[in-house]
Amino acid sequence: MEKQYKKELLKEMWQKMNLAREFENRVQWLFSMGLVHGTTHLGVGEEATAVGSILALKARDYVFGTHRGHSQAIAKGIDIDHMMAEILAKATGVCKGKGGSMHIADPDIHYFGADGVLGTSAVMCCGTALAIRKKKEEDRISVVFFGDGSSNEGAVFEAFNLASVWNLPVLFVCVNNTYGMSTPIAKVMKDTDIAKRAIPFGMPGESIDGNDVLAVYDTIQKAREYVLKEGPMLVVENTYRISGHSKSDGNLYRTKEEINAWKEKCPIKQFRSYLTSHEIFGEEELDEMVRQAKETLDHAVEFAKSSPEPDVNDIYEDVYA
Amino acid sequence: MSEITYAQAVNDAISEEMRKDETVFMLGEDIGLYCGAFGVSKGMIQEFGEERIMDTPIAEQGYVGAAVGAAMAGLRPVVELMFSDFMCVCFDELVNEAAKLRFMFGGKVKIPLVMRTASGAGTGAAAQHSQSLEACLAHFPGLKVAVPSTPYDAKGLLKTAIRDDNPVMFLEQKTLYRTKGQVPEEDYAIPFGVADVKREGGDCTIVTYGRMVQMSLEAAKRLAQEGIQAEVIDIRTLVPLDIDTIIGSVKKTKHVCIVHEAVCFGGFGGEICGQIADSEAFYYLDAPIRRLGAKSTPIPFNPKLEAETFPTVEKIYQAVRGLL
Amino acid sequence: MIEVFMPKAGMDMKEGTLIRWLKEVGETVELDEPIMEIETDKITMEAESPGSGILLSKIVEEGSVVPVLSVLGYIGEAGELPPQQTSQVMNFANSKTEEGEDSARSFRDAVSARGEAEEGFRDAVSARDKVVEGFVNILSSGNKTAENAGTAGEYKGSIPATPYAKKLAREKGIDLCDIAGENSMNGAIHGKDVMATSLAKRVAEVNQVDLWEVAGSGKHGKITRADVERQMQEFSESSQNPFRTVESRQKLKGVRKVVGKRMFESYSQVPTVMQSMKADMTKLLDFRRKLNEGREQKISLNDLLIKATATAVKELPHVRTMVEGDELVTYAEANIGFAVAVEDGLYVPVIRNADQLSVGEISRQARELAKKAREGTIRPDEFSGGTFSISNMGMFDVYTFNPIINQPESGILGITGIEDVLKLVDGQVVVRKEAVLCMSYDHRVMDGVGAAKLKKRVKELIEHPIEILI
Repeated sequence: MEKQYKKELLKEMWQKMNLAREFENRVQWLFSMGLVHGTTHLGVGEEATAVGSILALKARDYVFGTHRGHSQAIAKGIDIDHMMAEILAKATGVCKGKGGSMHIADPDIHYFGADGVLGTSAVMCCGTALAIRKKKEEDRISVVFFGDGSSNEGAVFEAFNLASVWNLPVLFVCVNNTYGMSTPIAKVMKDTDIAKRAIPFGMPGESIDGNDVLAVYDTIQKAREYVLKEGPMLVVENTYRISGHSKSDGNLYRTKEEINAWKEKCPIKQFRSYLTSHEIFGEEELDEMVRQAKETLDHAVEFAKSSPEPDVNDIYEDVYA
Repeated sequence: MSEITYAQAVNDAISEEMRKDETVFMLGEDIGLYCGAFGVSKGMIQEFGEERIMDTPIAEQGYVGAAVGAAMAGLRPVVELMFSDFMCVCFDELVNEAAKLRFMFGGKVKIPLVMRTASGAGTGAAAQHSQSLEACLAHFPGLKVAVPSTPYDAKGLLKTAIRDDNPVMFLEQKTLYRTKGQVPEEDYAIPFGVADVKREGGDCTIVTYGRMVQMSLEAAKRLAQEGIQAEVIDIRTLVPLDIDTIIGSVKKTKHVCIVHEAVCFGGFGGEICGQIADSEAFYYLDAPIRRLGAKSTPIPFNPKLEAETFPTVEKIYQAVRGLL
Repeated sequence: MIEVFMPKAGMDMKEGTLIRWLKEVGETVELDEPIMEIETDKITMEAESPGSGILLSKIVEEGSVVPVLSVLGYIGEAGELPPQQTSQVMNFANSKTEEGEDSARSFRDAVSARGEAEEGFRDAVSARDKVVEGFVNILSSGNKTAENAGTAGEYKGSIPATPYAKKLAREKGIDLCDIAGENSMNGAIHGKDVMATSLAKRVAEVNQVDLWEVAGSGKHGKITRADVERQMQEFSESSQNPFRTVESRQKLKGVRKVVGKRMFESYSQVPTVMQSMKADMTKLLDFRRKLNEGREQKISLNDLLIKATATAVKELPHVRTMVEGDELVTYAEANIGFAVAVEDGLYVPVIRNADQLSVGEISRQARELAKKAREGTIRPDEFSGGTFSISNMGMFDVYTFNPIINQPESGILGITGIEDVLKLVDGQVVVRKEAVLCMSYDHRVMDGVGAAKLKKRVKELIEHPIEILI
């Protein structure tokens, strides 16, 4: 018999996936209007990995995101208005306009942010896990998202080793979106089964369809239990980055056909068909929720645009505590 | 007051803070039963146990990064990096993360991390175990940098470092570990950004720190025999830097010689020199600013060559003589 | 007439080369200003003028080698005629290089042949030897100077100087071009080059005198050789003298320090003129004796003097006037300060509107204030706000003194001890009691007549004391 999910959970999944998608759409639009300073990394097509994983965690769990982490921040429950304000480099941004897309974070909700340098989040995640153990906190784990590209970083291997030798409550989530920038994983890994990398460190490793939000949810829910009881674990969520690496990506390294094929496997599209076919929500209900997501983003963009710029006199603020 | 070694002063500072504050712990390579490469953590694992004196894998990125994460989550880790040269292995964790996280995250995290490491030459450890890399660290906003020159300063500055909510790079001087000095028994802390005038004088200012402080004092003694009174300023912390004391002294003496063990080219002396030139002290300079530092060469193994690489009492003496 | 001579710039220096004159005949030259460039066998240096005036003549040509102390030229007033120069002397000088020591001896003989006047001069300059003897030590370290000294001309436009030298030059109004070439190190002008003449620097260096401690008295406040000598003299008197041992040494502090600072400021900043006038105290003393008959609290002479001074000050607005910034401000009251010696210094308590108070009231207030001052309980408002002060040294038998003005007041009246003098009054010799009124006044506020007016009026009151009570 097929697993039953609470309707509220499914609703939240649908809402957050659409919020994440709509967020990326708006950023893309704002970017083309010339309103976004710097660069930004969109994760269109990867929404199920973030939403499915994070909804399976507890609010108190530490989460370290990736530099393609908008959907992770949204899934963790960040304030959309203030996150959009950060994208527009405003004083009301979650990082006071000093971090930008690559550093969106909110330690108040235990989201330790996107990180611009790959691999290091994994070792820092071991640190927060160490703190959990030292403070003897129960029912709390530390989770790090990293990409297939980062999985080749030395720091990630050091983190695997540290987490396993100290038996830390760390859940490693590798979001394998097939490309590290433009480089397909097969070009930089002899064996592309990243989950196998857990084996020498004495950890379980599991590889799943990252575009199936429910599969992701189920896996992470179980993984969390494992981490709490036994120690660290690695989950690889296979997905595809429909958007370019960054806004300057010309998609020269992949074909339109490939992109279109993955668009068919879009996690939101798949989830919609699950929800309607199981008669959990009707098309209109789902459309209404999408419309609400758009409204939330309308508000966020308005809020961000009308927010003040940071005061130049505050430039030294937060350099030191 | 009691006379203890520099290494013991470091040990005492950490132990006393660990007794008072449960969140303070130490991690590093071979710091447990082995007591660290320089024996600093002697007796600590017996007192505090393996959970608070944590031996780590030889994986600097791993344990330094973990220390950053632990600090983000509210602990006060004291990392021992066996040799300061190894910071190059974990520069990302120190520089891209520890130094910047608070700023990037809009002030919502604190990184109360101390990275202790053994710095400097004079032990015949050659090019990869003898460097003085403080100038690189001082270059990154968000990090604080302390270089103690005496047991008293080591203990007082380290206590401040542990209590500080910012990442502090604490560069211990490996040739000073066995030197002794008077240290009070009662609790005390030395604030950062306060230079210590180790010797007063009116003819020339010697600005220095770390191992070179003692040498500068010896050079000053020789100069005094010739009627030249050198003022020796130990800056103690590079970041924050007590430039006011330096400027005040230069205005008084009108001559300045900056001495450090690190390579002269691109060294911290250049920063001090620049700040003097940028200040009102410029108008009081009655001779070019003199800098003494190591030669631009990797540190040689041969003891004769090694000695030739660094400033010596004789070189400091000659440099000051040449200024007046 | 002043003789310009070849200075002895080293213990073993016997002769020197006159490289070039830095002044032309007819040009004005100041004391200690570089007048010529000379060379010894070790060093090239500028030599300063021995006096101020006009360079009347050059009797030795550039490039000549001459024995030390030889006269090279004369300085005097315009129109003065220099002594006749003999071509013989010139020839000796020019032939020196070929003929060696003998010529030099002949030259010296020739010089001495000028007679007694010349001898006297040599005695005078021999005193200079002591100063320059030590030069020898520094000559070896002066090679760099020698290399650079000759290139003064190249400094036009861009003068290498340390920031401190430039700062000093700016402050003292010195043109760096004027001292280019006096450089002491690395070819650049240093602070000491601006502060002191070449000779002063060398004397200071040889004798290990810290130039920063020497006060300059030359042009633009430059330190001259004489200043360095004075410093050496003072130094040897103060701490080097083997016949004197320090009994105690104390930090300048408390009242002594404040008094010292104020006195120094007044003494160094106010153009003070001293003026004295005798006053016949006979009647005032009689008057006082009568006043005190049967009085419990005796009126002092000081009380009467305060009253007399107050009356005069009230009558003369210019005495109640002070310099404030670029204004002269006249105050309405005759608030009289009077100096009270305390253990480690001096207070000047003030009696307000003393002209309007009775002598008895002045006496009461003065006694109370003096007591407070001695006990150290006096409040700042009790020794401020004065418009004029007196200082009575009568009880110490002081014959005359020069009080320092209690700034910003216009002056201070000192009263000396009283002496019995024989005087002719209407052809009769009588004994009178006399004191001297010693006044110091601020010449910015008043002139001699103004100061005399005040004393005259005080004198009148002293000599007709009954008026004091009116």
